[in-house]
Amino acid sequence: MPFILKLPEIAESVVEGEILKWLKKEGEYVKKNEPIVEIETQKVTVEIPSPYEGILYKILEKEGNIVEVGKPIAILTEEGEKVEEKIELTSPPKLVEIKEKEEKIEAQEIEIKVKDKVLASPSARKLARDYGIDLSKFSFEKKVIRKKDVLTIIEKIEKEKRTKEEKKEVEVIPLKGIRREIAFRLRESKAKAVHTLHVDEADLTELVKLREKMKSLAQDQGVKLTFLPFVIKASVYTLKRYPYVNATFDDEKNEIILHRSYNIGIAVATDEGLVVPVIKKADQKSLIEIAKEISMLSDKAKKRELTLENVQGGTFSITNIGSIGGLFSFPVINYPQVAILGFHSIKKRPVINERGEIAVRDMVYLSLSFDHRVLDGAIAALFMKDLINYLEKPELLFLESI
Amino acid sequence: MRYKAIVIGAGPGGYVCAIRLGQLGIKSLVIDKKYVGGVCLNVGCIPTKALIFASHIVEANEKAKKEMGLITTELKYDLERLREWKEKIVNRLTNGILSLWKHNNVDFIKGEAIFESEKRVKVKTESGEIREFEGDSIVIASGSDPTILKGFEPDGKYIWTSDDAVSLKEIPQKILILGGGAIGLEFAYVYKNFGSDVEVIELMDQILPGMDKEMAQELTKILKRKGIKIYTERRAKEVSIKNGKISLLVEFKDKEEIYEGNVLLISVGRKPNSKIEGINKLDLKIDQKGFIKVDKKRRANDRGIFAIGDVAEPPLLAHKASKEGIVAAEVIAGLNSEFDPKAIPLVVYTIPEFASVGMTEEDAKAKGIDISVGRFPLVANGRALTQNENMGLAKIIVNKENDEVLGVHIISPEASSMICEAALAIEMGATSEDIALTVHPHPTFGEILMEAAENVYKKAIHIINK
Repeated sequence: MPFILKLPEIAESVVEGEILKWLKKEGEYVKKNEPIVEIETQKVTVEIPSPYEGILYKILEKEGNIVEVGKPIAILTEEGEKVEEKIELTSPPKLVEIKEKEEKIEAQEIEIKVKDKVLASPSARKLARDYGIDLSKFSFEKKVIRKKDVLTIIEKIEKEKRTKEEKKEVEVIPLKGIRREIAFRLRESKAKAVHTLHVDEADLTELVKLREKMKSLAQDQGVKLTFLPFVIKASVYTLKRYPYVNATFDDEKNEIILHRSYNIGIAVATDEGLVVPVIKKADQKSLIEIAKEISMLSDKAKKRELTLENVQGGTFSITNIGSIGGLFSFPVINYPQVAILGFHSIKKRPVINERGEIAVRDMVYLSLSFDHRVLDGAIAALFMKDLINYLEKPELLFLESI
Repeated sequence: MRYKAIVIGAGPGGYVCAIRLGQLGIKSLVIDKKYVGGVCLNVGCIPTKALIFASHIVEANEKAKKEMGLITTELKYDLERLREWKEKIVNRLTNGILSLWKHNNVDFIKGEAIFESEKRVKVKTESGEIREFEGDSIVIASGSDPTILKGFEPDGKYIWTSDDAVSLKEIPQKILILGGGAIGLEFAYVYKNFGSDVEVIELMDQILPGMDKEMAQELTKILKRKGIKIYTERRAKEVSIKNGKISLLVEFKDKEEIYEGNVLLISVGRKPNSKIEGINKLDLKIDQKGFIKVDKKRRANDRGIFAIGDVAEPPLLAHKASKEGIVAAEVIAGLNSEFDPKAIPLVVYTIPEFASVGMTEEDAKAKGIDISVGRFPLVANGRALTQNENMGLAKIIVNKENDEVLGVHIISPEASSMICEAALAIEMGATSEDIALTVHPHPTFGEILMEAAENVYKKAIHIINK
């Protein structure tokens, strides 16, 4: 009996997945629990193990297709098994047909060889065959075709394909993969949460000094210490005072869920789009542990190796836009969370200090996008004030941690 | 036991196929009823080359005495030790295959293969035990057997096949060889050198039927000069054995002739061995001669049955089988390989050797191609003379329109190695000018190919171009 491989349930709330890559070819033997296909869902890639042992007889969903959970994606057969009549339509054509076709091609080839004297070396013939070019359909200035001539044809074909694409006034890119997920999630967030923005500034002169000192210490442990671990730590201490900011909103049940664990999402830009891996239990981790985890997660994100576990369970998010520049931005809440902190460029700016003098200080803008349904403006402002206090007086972080 | 691929036959087609399968990550089973290495390694290509080399020493010794002033005593030989030396070569090569198999995940079972279905093969081992195997793909590489003529059934004593001849059990005083093809001529050369009187009787009007006529005539001349008698256009009618002597009745034109000898070697060709038990259970096309029809990918049907080597289609040559084995293995592994050589070289290992690749003059003319021909005789080659050889010829056939090399035929010592250059030239679509412009080392036998190419445009240096 052939087995029908269906797209399994990958995680709760995942209803569909994109066939990213078939790890087995048709006709290839698959062991039980051996990865057979790579599926992309919710910003992560999952390898699906084969539930059966046998031969991958037929792939029903090509790479790039988006498939609902539970839909058949492939047929597996037992080794040596003949496939039933009803699947027969997918089996290769009978030899007689193949032969006829091939004989025709041969006849053509010979005809043209005699006429046009197209001669090709074995490697040229092989390359043409592998790429699917019928050399007899091309006219050559040269009398003998070498591998490099076939390469030239292939380059030409590829270039033609590209210019055809470029010549079009518009380029249509199907929405799929991570981009599709982003579009869906952000639309949902903007549609449901009542986005409100609060912006403030912080004087990070002390933090800059402190980080400068700590940087080399961290370097000794092979860790690159950025500002982000400090911001995460400061956020966690502040969140502890404002439990409504470390929350998620359940629209269906009309419930606000306050979280006792502090799982901080960090936005990471990748070639494929934005992903938000989560630093779990950030309250229980040291600065250096967080720094290590950030580099581990952003590496995985860039290599598209994040697991579902890596991106789920966030309670609050931080987006760090500082490296690019700009004054400040209005981040979109990582729904169903209720707030996201935007951390921007640290720049030296003149400020009036307590003594009424103009001083050059390391300043930063911070923006907090929050769901006004859950948080009142005053709470958001107070949250930011406390957060800024931690960042301006980083010694407080140590006070709290001891 | 279940395998992704089963190969029936361990000859140069089958054993190579299994190695390539292993290289592509596919574990395979090879079944052979007799030999690892097949006919080629055990009783064909390899042992005959050993005999040719040994017998050439005898010939060279004679010439050295006569022409070069080398004083040698009478050469004596111990057939027993000569056989042992030959066996040692064969063993070394078969052990080499076994070790290559080991590293390429190949299992081997000695026994007779019997088809149960397209995916199931039974093996009857020598002890009579029956084992059953399953394979997703099955490669039939069962080779060929010597053709047996009715009324000329070999008995191993008076009437031999090549298997008897290669075993070198005796040097008959006079040996009649029926069939002037590659096998017949090689044994004619060996037994002549070892002291037999040799007469070759060929049905067609030339030895090596199908080969370039001019070259066949040239080789006939050379072999005759070595004392081998060659009779063409003779149809063997009947053989009788009287008082330990063979008497062969032959029809020549409208007359009858009688040839006498101590042994008659039958070398009238080989026939594909497609008569595997149960093969009728497979949906295959087998032609009247017994060849299994295959496509370019060597598929015999679209359900995983492949055929390669002698059983697939002519020419019946080891190197063709090996290349097909590689193609079949790659196709099984899902690659887009095809067997599409423009020409397959052929060699007769007499000394001088005869080697040929591509079209003969007759082929080209039959196809209506306007050709130019270049020739160069071995006698004008310095190296040949230093090796006390002067009989031979290189002939190159090119398309007059574009100078493309269509065929090359060489009679010369080392012609078997020289023909590789010609095969590459044909595959690459080279012109005779390409060969002529390529610097060939001096002094070598290989220069005769270069000069033959130059002779196409009457530019060969060491002859008066005509």
